[in-house]
Amino acid sequence: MFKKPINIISFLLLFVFAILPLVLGFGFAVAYSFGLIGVLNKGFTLENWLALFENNDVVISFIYSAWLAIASLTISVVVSMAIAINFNKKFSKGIYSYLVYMPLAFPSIVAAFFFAQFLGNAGILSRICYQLGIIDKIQSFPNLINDQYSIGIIIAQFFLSLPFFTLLYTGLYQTERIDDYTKLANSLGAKNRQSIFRISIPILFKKSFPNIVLYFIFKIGAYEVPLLLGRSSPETVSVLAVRKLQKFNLYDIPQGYAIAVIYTIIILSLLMLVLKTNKNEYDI
Amino acid sequence: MLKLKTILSGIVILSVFACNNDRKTANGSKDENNDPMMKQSWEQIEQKAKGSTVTWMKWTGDKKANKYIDDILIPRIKNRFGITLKIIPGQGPSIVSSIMSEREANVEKGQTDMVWINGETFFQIQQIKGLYGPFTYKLPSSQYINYEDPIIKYDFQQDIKGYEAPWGKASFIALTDGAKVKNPPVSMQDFETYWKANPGKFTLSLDFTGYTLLKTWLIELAGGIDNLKGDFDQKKYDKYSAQLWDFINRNKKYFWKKGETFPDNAVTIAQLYATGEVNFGFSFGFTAVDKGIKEGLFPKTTIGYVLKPGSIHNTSYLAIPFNASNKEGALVVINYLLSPEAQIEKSDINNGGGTPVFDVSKLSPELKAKYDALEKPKYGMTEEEVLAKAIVEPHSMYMIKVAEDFRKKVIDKK
Amino acid sequence: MSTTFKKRNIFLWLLALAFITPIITLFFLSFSKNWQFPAILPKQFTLENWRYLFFSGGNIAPSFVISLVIALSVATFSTLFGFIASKYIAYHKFRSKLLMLTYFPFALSPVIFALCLKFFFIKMSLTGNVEGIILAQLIIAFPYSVIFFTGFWSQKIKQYEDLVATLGGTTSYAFRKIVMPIAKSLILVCFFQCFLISWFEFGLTSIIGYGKVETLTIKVYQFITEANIFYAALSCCLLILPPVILLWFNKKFIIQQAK
Repeated sequence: MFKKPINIISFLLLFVFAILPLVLGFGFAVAYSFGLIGVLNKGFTLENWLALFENNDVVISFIYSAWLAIASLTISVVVSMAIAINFNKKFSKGIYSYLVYMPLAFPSIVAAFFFAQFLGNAGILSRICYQLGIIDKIQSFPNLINDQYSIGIIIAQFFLSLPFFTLLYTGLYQTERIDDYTKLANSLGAKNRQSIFRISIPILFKKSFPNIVLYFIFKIGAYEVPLLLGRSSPETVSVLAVRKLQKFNLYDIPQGYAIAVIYTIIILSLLMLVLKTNKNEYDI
Repeated sequence: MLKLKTILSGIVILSVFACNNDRKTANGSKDENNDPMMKQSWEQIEQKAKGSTVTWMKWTGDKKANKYIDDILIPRIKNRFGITLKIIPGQGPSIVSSIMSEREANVEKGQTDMVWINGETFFQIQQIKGLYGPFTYKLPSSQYINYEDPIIKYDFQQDIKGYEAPWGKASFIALTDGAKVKNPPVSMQDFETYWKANPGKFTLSLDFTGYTLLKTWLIELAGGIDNLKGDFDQKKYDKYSAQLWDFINRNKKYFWKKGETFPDNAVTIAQLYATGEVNFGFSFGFTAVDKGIKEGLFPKTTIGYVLKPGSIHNTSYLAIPFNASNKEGALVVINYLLSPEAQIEKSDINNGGGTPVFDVSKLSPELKAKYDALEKPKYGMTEEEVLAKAIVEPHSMYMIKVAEDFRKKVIDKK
Repeated sequence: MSTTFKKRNIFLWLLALAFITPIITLFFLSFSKNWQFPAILPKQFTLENWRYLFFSGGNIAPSFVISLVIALSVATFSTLFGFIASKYIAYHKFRSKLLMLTYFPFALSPVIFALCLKFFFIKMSLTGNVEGIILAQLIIAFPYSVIFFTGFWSQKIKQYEDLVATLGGTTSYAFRKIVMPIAKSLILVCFFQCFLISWFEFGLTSIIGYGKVETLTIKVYQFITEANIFYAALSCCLLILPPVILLWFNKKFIIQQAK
């Protein structure tokens, strides 16, 4: 197995930086959640797990995280497909090819901060509406952050993921030679609409599906954006886990680790599913 | 399968040293007074501390206080004692969790040398034997402090036993804009009436300020603080808290954003108050009103007032984690922070504001004159007015329970 | 035709606006003071925020330097290690299984991962210091780099290498003359990607860094919790600056980013 020293080094690198942390972290979370370690724990118990499922907070949190990821992804996919199909040339060079990548320069926390300042009740948009006479007082401005429908989170996530998908689709548009197909279809008598909905969109969607799922997996764990723009309840998985592990009640800590365990199992199973069903490799 | 085995063996290893951990903790209750470190003279301690770094974990939500610490305190401590003071942000729960993780990992040289805590944080850290002490008897500045004063001796009904050195006193007040709110609501009933007439203009924060408001109402429901004095009483708590959650749940639709979300901290509420989104703020410290007005944040018509059951009055303390790596340095810094000079400066409304911890009768005439010469608040209540209505903190468990149940019974309840 | 043309233009204008507004806003806010509702522009534009944070006690310059040191180290190590380890994986008989294993740490939420690993970092005295942060960030950036390069070691490269070997060339010759020239630009891209992963990191850094290592993202969060929006905006500007420069310098460095 290790014919050359370089192979030993490679294996060690993989082991130390990728495999070991995962095993240790997961093992620790499992052990803590079952009361095997921790100063306030007194040996093996199922109590923490039972307490976690006494109410449906955790389930709601997972559904909520998934819903946020799906909502922002859907918008990103639709808009970036529209860009790829309609403005393919404009976005492959020139000023737009620079502008569209702007959000890539934004860390999540900066994007969250900006949207808080922009969409908040006393934010820029609200001030503009006031100056234009659309609203007459601060309260009349709709809640766009820390709001019931999580609009702020979805917009911020959309902003962050748009360049990624625009890039993907403008790239696919060219490599999959969609232009040629649509021209062919049009010459055979298909209408513009038809060729878009029957050819361009299905090809792009199918080709990008694994990327969409991978992105979905990343976004379920989103932390900074929901932390700053979300409501007190429901919380996304990351925010909930951090609160349980770092906030008020010491006896909540094992539950926090139980959430980490559930999260890890879900994410890793999803990931295995995607990677297994798709034999191709994904370049990031 | 192989992976599962590795994980399982990992767990076994972990649980082995977890047991180890427990044993050490059980034996760890050595008498701290015999710690050789504490046997040194104060001069030796100061000498040892020279050139060291002290890491102080504290709540950093007060802009003015931060600026005072950054611009004046840190350079002075460097000049006078040769100590580099480093602030790291963290309030109650994160202080507890960081000390706890170090306890679990058996870390001998911890990350923090001193912490700013009180109440439930003190209570929780004591549960995990997370503090070093007793140490207050060693501080020369202790001569100015009356440790028998109940407001200092008991931190949320719990005897500090020399494990905490008092740093500031604070009283809980409500603030509102007198121009907008003619008759500020004082009792719960007043609030209910106000909310119904003015929906969306009230909220509370998910931090100690908000929870203190909830405790104030709990005291009102219990018919006064006398009923909740002493140890935590589950029966009483269940009775009055049920009424409290009912009161909030039936009214939260009149809160800011329909009570569907609450700001994380009092700083955010101050901002909401400043922009006029809500009409009430809450704060520890009668100087909060003046500070807000001076900063240009609050309207000049802002007034401070005390709610019906009284103003919850507490002391906040400085303490040393059990595994602080620079205990000498921490002692020197704490001693300086307790000194009349630093206390008077801190009480200045241009810096932190608040009530100093020294016993005025123990001050020299010069120091007393200096204290009396401090700029008096112009807009809020005077110290005497607030103190006349001061009540003590109920036991820490009330805070912990209120915080937990507010989430369970109000926030998470649809 | 003309109406659709107009509609298209409006759409483009809106997009352009959406991309440019955040940067302009943050930039303006960093020079602002006294920004009361409902004024759109602040009462005062001032250099004071910049001056205070850079020259008197505000400590933003050290944060910038710390972030830079961490990001450069993480980028260097993860690119180097990833390049080496990826070849091992690419030619391994369990290629897909190993690749999946490297995907795992990369897919997990860094903040949750950090909470589970915190204990071990404390044990090794790696909390609250720069070394700890670098190691912790390597745990996310290294898998990225491995995955990034695994695609590079294609059959084609293997064939080139084999060809050199049959023609009597040494491995190091093949590496210098064949592999490196092809890999050079990819290595650069990977380096900048890893740099950004580190530069943007917040959750994991806040847990492992303990608040002691004040990177720029940590500073932004601190200022937000103090409701100090002008300082927060200023720190945001500093965070955006390097990626924007990179973007201007060469789009390629930045556009591969996935996360």
